[in-house]
Amino acid sequence: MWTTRHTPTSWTSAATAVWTCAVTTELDPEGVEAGTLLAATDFTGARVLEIGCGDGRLAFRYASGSGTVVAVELDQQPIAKALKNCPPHLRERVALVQANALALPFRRERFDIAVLAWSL
Amino acid sequence: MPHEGMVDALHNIWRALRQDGVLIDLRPVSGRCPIEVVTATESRQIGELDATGMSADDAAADRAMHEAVDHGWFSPMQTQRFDFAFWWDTVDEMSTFLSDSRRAKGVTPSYSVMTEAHQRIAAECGGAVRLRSFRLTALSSYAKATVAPAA
Repeated sequence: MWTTRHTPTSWTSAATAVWTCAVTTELDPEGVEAGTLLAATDFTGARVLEIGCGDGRLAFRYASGSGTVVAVELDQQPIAKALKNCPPHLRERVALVQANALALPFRRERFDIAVLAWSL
Repeated sequence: MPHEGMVDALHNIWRALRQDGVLIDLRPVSGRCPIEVVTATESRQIGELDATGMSADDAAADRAMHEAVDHGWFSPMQTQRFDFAFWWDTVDEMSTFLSDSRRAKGVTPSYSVMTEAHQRIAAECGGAVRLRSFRLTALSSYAKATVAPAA
């Protein structure tokens, strides 16, 4: 059963809630990974392709400042989890796609930024 | 993913990027990470996570990225390292999470020893304590090169 874990406000912001499957692990509630990513490249208005998005943990953190995000994951289970976890305000902006990086179903020169998220 | 697959994937990404596009390669760095018990006032190391298990995959990924650069698909821009935290309430939660991690080889000392340490510190503090570990991560960015790809 999927459960949500909201970080206690005494530790950090409730906005850093992460979703887990049975196990209540919090990954990077401080947002260091996404913050470093956003500092490294200007995502403003960019069309972003993320390869290996998993449950969408990272994509959901930078998507607000991007134009559109296509987040690709090979396995079905994490994609299902990502679809469930996607915040309502990002559903128009983030497309979650089950696809293989060896056969990306996109036309040439479509994206401004590609993110290999722990996937190479 | 085998090395050849990584190179093919990088070529597909090259095709999908615009001429002035940027590729960001974000991945954890193999190494050993401290496991700490964090109280309201301090953190105490009670163990270590061995995350060296994927060094062969990391080497293959490095080779694939170098090959993509050699092909003229991408030009290196910058690389930086940073770490971020994982948090758990109990050693059991940490154990379950790490058992699903393909990068974690194990922990020292044993989970039972760390459970004792966690419970002892919690009793000393009389308050909430949590477990924390870190993951050293590398972020490398590359500009899409404008030359025609060699493959």
